[in-house]
Amino acid sequence: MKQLFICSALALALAGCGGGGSTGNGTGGSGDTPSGGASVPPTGNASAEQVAMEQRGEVHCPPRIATPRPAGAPVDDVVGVRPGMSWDEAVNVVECDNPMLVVEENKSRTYRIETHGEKLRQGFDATFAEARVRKTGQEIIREMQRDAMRRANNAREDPLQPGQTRYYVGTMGLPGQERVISVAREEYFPQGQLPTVDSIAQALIAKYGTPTAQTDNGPSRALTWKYDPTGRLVTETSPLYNSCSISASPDAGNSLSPDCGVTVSANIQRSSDNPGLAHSLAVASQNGAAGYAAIENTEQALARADQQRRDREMQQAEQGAARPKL
Amino acid sequence: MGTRAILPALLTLSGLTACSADPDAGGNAAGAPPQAVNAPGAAEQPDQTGAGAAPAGPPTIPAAIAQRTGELTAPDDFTMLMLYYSLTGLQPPIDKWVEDDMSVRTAAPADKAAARDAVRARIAAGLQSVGNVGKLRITANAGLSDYDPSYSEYTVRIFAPSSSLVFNRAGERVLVKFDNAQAAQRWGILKDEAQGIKDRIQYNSSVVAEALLQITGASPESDGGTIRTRVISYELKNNGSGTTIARVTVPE
Repeated sequence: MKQLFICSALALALAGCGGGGSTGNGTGGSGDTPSGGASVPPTGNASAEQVAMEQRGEVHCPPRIATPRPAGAPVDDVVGVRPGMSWDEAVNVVECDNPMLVVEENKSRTYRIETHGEKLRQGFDATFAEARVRKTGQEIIREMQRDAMRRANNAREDPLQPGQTRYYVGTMGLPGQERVISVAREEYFPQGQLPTVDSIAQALIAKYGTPTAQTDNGPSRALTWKYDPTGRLVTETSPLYNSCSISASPDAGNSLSPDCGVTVSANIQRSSDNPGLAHSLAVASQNGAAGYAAIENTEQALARADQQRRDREMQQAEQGAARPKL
Repeated sequence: MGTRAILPALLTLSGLTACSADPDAGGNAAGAPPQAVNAPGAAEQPDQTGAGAAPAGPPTIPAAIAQRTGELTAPDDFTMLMLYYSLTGLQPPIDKWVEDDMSVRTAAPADKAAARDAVRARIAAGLQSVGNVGKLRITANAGLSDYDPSYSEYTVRIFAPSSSLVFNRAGERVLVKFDNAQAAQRWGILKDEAQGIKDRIQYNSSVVAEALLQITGASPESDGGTIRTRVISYELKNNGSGTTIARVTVPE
C-alpha cells in the first residue's frame, strides 16, 4: 500500500519535470496526477540526493511570489509560506527552503466537505528525500518485523533526523486553483549546532512581534500570536484569548473558525542533554476566517457546478432520452 | 488524526422570547465619537465604527428583498422555513408539510381529507403572510463577554462570525447568519463609562439581545438553507429584571 503511494508520487514528479519551467512536484492542477501508464518511475538504487533531484525537477530559487502579504496585515508566513498563496507558489517556496525537500500531495488529510466527485488538492507534505534501495525479500521481512515490534512496544519514532525539516501545507480551492489555508514546519537542529532556546524565542518575537501568550512547560517553550479577523492582536482581556489556538506540529489537525484571524504558534523543544539548548522548532500559521471562507466558497462553487450539471443532464434527457415501455 | 474538521462554534438559539415593542430602539449607549482602534493599549476610545471589521460597504440587497417592508417578530421554526422558501423562490414541499402535520397524521380516515384541506389553507395563509417580510426581530441570549479594556469594548457573541440562529422543522434547517457580524459583535464603551455599564449588568450570562435584522439574501444548502441578514440595531437587557442596559446601533 505504501509502495503504491510512493510510486504514484514519483510519477507525479515526472509529470512535473516534463512541464518545462514548472516548479516540480504538484504543479499544474489536480488533473495532472497520473493514474499510471505513461510515466514509469525510476528504479534501481539511488542516493537521497539523486532521488531529490528526480522528484523536484527544475526549481526556481528564489521563488517567484505573486501573492504578497497585504499591507498592514500581521506577519503570518512560515519561512515564506503564508496563507493565501497559490499551491504552486507554496511548493516553490518550500522547495527553495532546502534542496533535499520533496513535495508530495497528501490525500489522506481532508476537510469534511461535499466535493460532488471533484478531486481537490487539500494539502501537501514536504519531507527529506530518502535513498532508494532495492531490498531483498529477507530485508523487507526484517524491516516489517522491526516495524511491528516497534508498534507493539509503542516505541516513539522521531519524524526527523537531526538537520532535517518537514512541512505540511493545507490548501483549499477549486481544482487547479487551490490556495494555502494553513502551514506547519518542523526542523530538527543539527547535532553540535543546537541554538539556545532564548535566541530562538527572541528571533520569533523579532519576526512576529509581541506574542499573545507564552508558556513554558519544562520540555518545551511555546509562543502564540493571535489576531482577530480585522488584524487586531488578541490580548489577555479578549474573549478570543482562549480560542483560536493551533498546534505547531505538522502532524496536528486544523480547526478553522470564522471568529479568528491569523494565528501563529511556535513550539521550541528543549534538548534533553541541555535544557538551555533547543533540539527542534515547530512553527504553524493559519488564518481562521480566511480559511473558513475558502472552504465555504469552494463548497458553494462545487455545489453550483453540480447543480448546473444536473440541470444540463435533465435538459438533455428531455430531448433525447429513451422512453419507457409501459 | 488524518481527518480535518471544520468546527464553527454554532450558537444555537434555544428559545425565542417575545420582543420589545420599541421599534425605534437606537442610539449607542456610549455615545462617543467613532474611532478605529488598531493596537492594544493604544485605545482610549472604543471602536464603534467597526470600520476595520466590516468589508467595504454593506452588501447589495437584491431588489426583490429590498422592496419587502414587513417585519417578523419572534418567528417560530415553521414560519422561518416558510420565509426561507419565500425569499429563495424555491417551491415549498407543501404536500409533504401537509402529510407531516400532526392533525393530518392523527385524523380518522374519514376526517383526513378535511384535515388536509385545513392544514393546506393554514400553510397558504402562512406563506402569504411572510411574502412581504424584509426585517426580523429576534431575541436571544447575547453571549456578552467581559469588558475588554485593551480595545474598550464588549463582545456580543450572538453576532460573532461563527454564530448562527438555527431553526429546525421536519428535517429542514434554516440558519440565520449575519453579514456584518464583525462590526455587530463589537460594542464599544469608553473606559470612563465601562464601570457604569458593569453596574447595570446583573449577570453577563443572562443578558439578552433584542435585535432588528435586515434580510439581505437567502440561499439553499444541503439540508435546508441560510437566510443572510444585517444587524441594524439591538437592545441589551437583563433577562431577569427586563431592565435595559444599552441600545446599540450598528454602524454601516
